[in-house]
Amino acid sequence: MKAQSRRSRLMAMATALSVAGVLALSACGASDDESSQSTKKALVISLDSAVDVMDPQQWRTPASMVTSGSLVEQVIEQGYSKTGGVQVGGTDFNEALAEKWEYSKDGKTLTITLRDDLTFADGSPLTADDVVWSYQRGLEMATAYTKVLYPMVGLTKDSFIAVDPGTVEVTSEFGTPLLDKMLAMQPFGIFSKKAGEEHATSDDPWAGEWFRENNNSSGPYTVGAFDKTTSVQLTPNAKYYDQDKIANGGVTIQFISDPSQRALLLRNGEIDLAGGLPLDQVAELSKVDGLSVVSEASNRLEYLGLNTGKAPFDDKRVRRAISLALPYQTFVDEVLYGYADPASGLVSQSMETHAADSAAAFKTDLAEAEKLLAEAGVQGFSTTLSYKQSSAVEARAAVYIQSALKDLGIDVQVKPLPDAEFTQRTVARDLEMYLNNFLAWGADPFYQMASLAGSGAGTNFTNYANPALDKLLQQGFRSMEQADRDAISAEAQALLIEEMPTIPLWNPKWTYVVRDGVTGLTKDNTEQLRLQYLSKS
Amino acid sequence: MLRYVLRRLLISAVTVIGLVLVTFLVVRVLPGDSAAARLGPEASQADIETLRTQLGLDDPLPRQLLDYSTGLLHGDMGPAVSTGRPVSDELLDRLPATIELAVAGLVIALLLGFPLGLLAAARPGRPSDALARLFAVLGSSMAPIWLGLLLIFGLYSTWQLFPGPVGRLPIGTPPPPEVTGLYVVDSLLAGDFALAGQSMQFLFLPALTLGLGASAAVLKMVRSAVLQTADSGFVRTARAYGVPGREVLLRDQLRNAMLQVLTAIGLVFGFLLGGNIIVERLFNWPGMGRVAYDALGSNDLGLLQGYALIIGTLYILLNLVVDLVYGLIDPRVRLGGSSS
Repeated sequence: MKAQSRRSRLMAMATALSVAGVLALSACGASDDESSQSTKKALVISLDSAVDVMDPQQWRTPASMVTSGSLVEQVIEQGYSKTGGVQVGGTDFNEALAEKWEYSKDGKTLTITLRDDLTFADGSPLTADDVVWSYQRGLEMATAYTKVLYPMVGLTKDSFIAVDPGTVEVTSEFGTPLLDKMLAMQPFGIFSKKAGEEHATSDDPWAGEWFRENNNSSGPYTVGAFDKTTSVQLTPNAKYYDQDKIANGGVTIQFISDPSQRALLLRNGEIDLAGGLPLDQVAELSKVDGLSVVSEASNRLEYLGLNTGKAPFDDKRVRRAISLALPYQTFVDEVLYGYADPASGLVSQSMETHAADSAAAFKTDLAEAEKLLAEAGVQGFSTTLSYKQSSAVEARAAVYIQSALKDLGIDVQVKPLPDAEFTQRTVARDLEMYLNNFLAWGADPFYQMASLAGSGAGTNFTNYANPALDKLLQQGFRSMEQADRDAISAEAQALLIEEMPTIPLWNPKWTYVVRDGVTGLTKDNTEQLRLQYLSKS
Repeated sequence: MLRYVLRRLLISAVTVIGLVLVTFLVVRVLPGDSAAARLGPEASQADIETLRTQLGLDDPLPRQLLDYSTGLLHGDMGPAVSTGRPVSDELLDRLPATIELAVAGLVIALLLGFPLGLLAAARPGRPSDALARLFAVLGSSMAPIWLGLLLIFGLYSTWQLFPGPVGRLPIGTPPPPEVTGLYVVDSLLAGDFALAGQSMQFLFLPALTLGLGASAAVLKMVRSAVLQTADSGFVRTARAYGVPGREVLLRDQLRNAMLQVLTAIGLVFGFLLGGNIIVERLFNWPGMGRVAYDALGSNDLGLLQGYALIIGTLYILLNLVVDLVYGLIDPRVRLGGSSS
């Protein structure tokens, strides 16, 4: 902080303008931050968004999901393996709040036995009643995001029973591997029933309002300070069941809305980790001493949606022809600066059951594309390609798509839309062709395919409906054996390549830039950071 | 004078009513469904419909306007769909940060624009006038975002003279005990001069970004208003009597130009209050402008409506104050003459 004093003196000298009073006072402002005496150091990070709500079942921004997820603990958690400096969650699971969890032979009944002496941050006991209340809340609260997952794993509001204070029984209509994946997600962490009931009202029986701004943490952190437009300070929860799992002395998430400023602050050492940076700046920062780029394969999928309810996109040959005209590697090299993997199907390469031969379908083959268009009797047409105006990446990709389709005689009008209008029109399913992205929580292939191509799925904006695909996906959800899942998934993937209602373009990498000494970046199956594993030397 | 004040108050009240009507209608024609935005794309149509009913979005427009207006009379602007908190809380919590920035910007604008304007008017056509006008052209033609980036790059990133764009205080520093919500004032009231200094350091770059642009407007108005008085009889008479030029400028010309200058200051302050969305975002300044920017992204129309209403009302109040000060400065206004 000696530099700070020097700054103040320089400042005083530099004031030829009428700001002498300001600068004189500013000299008093230099003060040292006390460095932490703890062996675990605190970190300051900045993500791609601000934190608006503290409820892991109602979050709206990714940073809210990270923050609120740190205020609840799950009964089980993913096992993590280290890959290139990142701990990546896999398909094996370990005990968390649960001392053990066991399935019945038919896989339909799960018995969870909680650890002894679990408490929330206020010291009140965490029991089976809290687990049941939390799971029911995730399904029944109107504003809960989580409810979409329950039917996929065969759970209803009657599925949860507190057998005794330490035991919960969960009964599903069918056995499915997705249930473990779901229970390990942060939005399925455990809330305090007592706090919820104390703050419930007749209009808000699940205390949605209260949990938006408050918490009684079962997770690794509590909220030290929170200003919605500035920062949230997370401090380690002294009542957390396993203190050794908290690798830092706390995390402050600073809300820096302009990504360029975020990069600047990282470069100047004011923050330790930054996410959501423009990829051209990530490429630049990778060359800066003291900074490193952490980049890991992701299941998030950028895709080109086609409105199958409108001609000529109602003809699968036209859709397939478009997919054969696209420059997949160019997207990766020129639009994503290498921080992406080229399209390999709706089920990405890093997702279980990915069909090895599906990636070959996403190549540029103009001759085949022209042949398919001719077979469909389509000879050039005009259409509109829409995307969110906030996305610089999609704006660049749109130009490449426009150019590629011109070679097929398709005249594409590129149309950026305000984000709110884009969301409204995708939900109304009236866009002809659009760029969008999606991530299936749990890295589950059937969830991914059902969400993007399943009949009537809330996030299938293409109007595509295919009973044969739906049947396959339901079989997939209900298959416990890996070989069966592989076979069903491969059949569904082949069907989707043939039908091509949405065209996969690339999988953007999970990318952060960190200062030297920051380790422990951990990607779970919702692809959010698990803050408790971050550390700083 | 009483009639003048009453007339101004009445005009202001009618303008506020018009403002309520316009903001209400404009927000209703913007694209986007607040209920769908709040629940996300995976929400069922039934859930969206339920929330729409709860929020009153299904009611006929006149009914919605009546409910909204009735709520306003009780200080209730409805809930912000993005957070569930009352819109008034979301915005008024941030108002002090916006006012602190706007006041600091105005101070800088006056400190730069006023003397430069006088200097230019004192010697029209001379090099000092040309330089002042060049400053005015540069100031008014530079976009705040560009100027802000330039200041951040130069004064923070390169020379490290000022702190980075992380808000009102260093990361992790608790704010002073709240009295006014203005950190500089509250720090001084608490006797914490170090914190006041830090607050001013963090305030300086965003205020300079706003103030430099605004100073051009002040400069041009001061120059123009003072020059208009140069050919007046009282100036000629004063000069004929051998009154020194500086005294004529400051005592006679400037005083007679103050009505126009005051109008300009009112307009500039209104602009600084409502026109700082980009600056607040750039410097991560936690004011109302930043809330409005975020509301745009989250399609929170109620929050946007509240922002427009509060800024518009402040603007009307500013104009009212300026009008009333006219009465104090100019006896013709007090006595029922021209007020313009």
